[in-house]
Amino acid sequence: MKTKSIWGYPPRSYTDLLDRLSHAFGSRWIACVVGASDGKFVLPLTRRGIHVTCYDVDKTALFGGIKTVPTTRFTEPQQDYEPSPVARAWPSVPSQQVQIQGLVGRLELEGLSQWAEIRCTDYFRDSREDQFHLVFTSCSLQYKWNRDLDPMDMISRLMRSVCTGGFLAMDYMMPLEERHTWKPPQYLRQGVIETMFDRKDWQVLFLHEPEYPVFEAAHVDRPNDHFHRIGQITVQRIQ
Amino acid sequence: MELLAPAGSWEAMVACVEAGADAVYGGLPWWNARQRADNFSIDSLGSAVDWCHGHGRRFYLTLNILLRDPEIRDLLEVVTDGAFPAVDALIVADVGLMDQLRCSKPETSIHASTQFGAQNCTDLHWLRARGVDRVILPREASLEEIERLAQTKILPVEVFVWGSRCFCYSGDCRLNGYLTGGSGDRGCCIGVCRHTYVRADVSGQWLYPEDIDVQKYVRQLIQTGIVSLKIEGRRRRIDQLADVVRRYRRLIDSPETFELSRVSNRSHGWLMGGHSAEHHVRAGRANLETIGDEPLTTDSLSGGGGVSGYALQTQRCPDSDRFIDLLLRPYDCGGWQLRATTHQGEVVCAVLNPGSDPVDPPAVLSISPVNGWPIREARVEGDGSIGWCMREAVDALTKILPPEREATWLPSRNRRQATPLLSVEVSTREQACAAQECGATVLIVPFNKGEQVSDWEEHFPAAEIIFKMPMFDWKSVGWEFWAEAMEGRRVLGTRWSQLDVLHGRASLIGGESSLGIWNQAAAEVARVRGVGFITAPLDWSLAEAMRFASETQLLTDVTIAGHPTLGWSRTQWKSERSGADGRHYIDLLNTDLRVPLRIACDSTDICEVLAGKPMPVAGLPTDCGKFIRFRYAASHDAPDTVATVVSQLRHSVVDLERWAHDIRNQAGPRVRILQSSR
Repeated sequence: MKTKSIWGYPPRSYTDLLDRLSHAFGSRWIACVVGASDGKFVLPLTRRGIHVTCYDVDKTALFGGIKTVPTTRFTEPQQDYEPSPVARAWPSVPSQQVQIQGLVGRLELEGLSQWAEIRCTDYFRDSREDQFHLVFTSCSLQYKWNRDLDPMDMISRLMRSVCTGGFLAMDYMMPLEERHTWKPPQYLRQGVIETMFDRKDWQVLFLHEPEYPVFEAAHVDRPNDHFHRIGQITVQRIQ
Repeated sequence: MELLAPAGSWEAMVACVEAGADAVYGGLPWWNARQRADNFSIDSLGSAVDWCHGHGRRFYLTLNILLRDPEIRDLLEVVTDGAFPAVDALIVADVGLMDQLRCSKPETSIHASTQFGAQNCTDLHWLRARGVDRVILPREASLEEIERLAQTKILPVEVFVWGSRCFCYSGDCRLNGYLTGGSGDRGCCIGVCRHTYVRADVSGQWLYPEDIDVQKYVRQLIQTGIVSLKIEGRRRRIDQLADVVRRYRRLIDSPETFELSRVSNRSHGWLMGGHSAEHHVRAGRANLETIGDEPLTTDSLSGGGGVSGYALQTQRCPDSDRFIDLLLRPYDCGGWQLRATTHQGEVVCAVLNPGSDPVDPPAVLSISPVNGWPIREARVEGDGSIGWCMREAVDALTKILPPEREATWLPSRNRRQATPLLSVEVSTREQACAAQECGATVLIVPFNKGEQVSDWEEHFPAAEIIFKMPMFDWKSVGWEFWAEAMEGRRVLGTRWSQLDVLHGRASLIGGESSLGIWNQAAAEVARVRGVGFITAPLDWSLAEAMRFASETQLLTDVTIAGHPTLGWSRTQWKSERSGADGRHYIDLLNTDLRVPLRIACDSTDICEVLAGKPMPVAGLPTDCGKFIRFRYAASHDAPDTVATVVSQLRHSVVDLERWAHDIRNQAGPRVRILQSSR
């Protein structure tokens, strides 16, 4: 039975990345997902028979429970015109409490439990220093729990988890516009992350830092429509 | 019920308001679809908005073109400035711009332009979810369709009631771009569908759909639940506009006062359906004087000395910082196309020596020093297979440049056989068979209701098949049928609202050129919807597509061969004769622009193709960037032709050195001659 993450589907670039690793390592590689949540990025790996170490501090996302999600909107005719969902003050949209399966539940339903190791702890404060062929994280640097950490230290920690020949792939939030300086330093300005990999033992394979933010509808734990500017980088450790 | 009137100038705005308009719409000299109107400057826009508000009226600003990246930056800088006039709404066509305006100017209403082409509930839901406050339906909507959409109350609906029509769906015309080099989506429409063409020695406005005037149906329109009646015509005469506004004002206030005697002989357009009726397009135009219109004719395009082009609008150019960029490229039908682009983005197009290949420097000279402005950049663009022509073109341009400038020519050094990454778009199995037998591995095929996906897959197991979603579905309340059928398959989406449904279900999603992805902001919107590749607009050169692909890092399909569509129309055209391939043709010849046209009519829909002169088969590079793929649009070709062209494409000669140079320098032009102003 194929299950679906309440966070939606991974982007196309993630599938391309996994294809690339499968091409490079066959089926003999292991991965680590930092900020695994309910498995948006984990299940595509385990379905390929890849062993994944999953880090997250959110117990509900890992083991299931109640989450607040926006209700399905705009599917029925309106009685009268309501304000646009992205209205002037960007108000909250109607939401509801739902029971989610969580990562563990999804793995069990799909019969993939043996491919995942769940670590319900903070990766950046975890003393274990395992190494993987792929380390992936999506916006965990900007997670509210990490506001007191230096982004460069966090990136260094991620780099240490990659074995020689392995890949590190990150999505990260950027200031909505470059002139926005009020964001905490975890919001990486254009060109900042590239400097971390300007060294002989790392090779930047893909770097995408969009100039423009994109609209994102309300989602789990974020009850109002909003905008993001998300960069992507994929690097390979060559030494 | 709002009556919305055009404000092509201050005088028109005042006349329309005094005649009874509730709101007016106008544009700046840039970024709007009527760049030839007497538009407002930013200063006069502020005065106009204040004047309207002082009279209890609203002012909507048109930003209804597809924007390039530099333009979107400039635009955002202007409209987000605190001193920018407080217009009541922005009329927007570009999806990327919609997002950026909503993000940086959330207090301003956004109206989705008719150029967006919203057709069904799904489109309206999609727009509403992005914060759009009103949708302007295309003129192709029938009364029944308008009512159905208005009754959903998803978004307030605005419709056109008076003005001209396009021969294509709004926002889907390519004819203007082919004939003039300026895309109608970019505000360069000069109404080529109104020109006189010759067919069988008979001149006529063969492509010209009648203008619309739906006074007769105002009562029904009001009852549908729409919120605004829109009058088109920012370039119309003021007295004519005032008269029209006055009449519609009277009809809205008291529909029973409908004056039969004043009804013009204009068409009700597509309002009452009848999309297949041939009378919408007719030879000539009756009662021109009665209507009092001044349509463009090809007379205004003619230049001297064998040069055709249209006159540059010089009155809006400032006194300083003026320059032009020149671009010379081979024209499909022989000769060369010269494009001179001013610092304001206005374009002069000319066809030099039509029908013959040599470049004539005097002919270039006759148009290039536009008003004596300095040439900032001169470029020659062409295909790798016509090197001697390129050399000649470089020489011709060099002669008009200052002597101290040194022309740079990048000669071929390293030619080798190529196996380009090629996709072939077909419409029949026979075409697909021919393409596959000649080595095509990526097939783009149509998929419609009633078909079986597995039929294609079983017939072509070795090919990577991409199913193309339908462009038009006025009755759709969702794309669920297609989303289910496309589960796990590769799909080419043709509408924005399709992407959300396909995301996560299709194994690969592509974005067709009909999405209008012209800038990085729009590309980001597509990317987050799982789009893995896009199709470059047909108005782009290969160099432009390469630059865009390099910047966005999205795989970009570039159509380099075949018969491109001139646009999509809802009208079926009268069949004139049967061709050898069993299809029907009307042959047209534009004598002024010397572009022979053939209009081919399928039994179910119209498809227009350039006759006998398909896009040239180019020498393809193997290394023009990892984000470029080439497409052969073979839908209108016979299987034999498909086989021949695919074979040619697969064995074309490439020039790796030159392309590598362009990639390194992110250079648009393939041959750069001059880089600085004099």
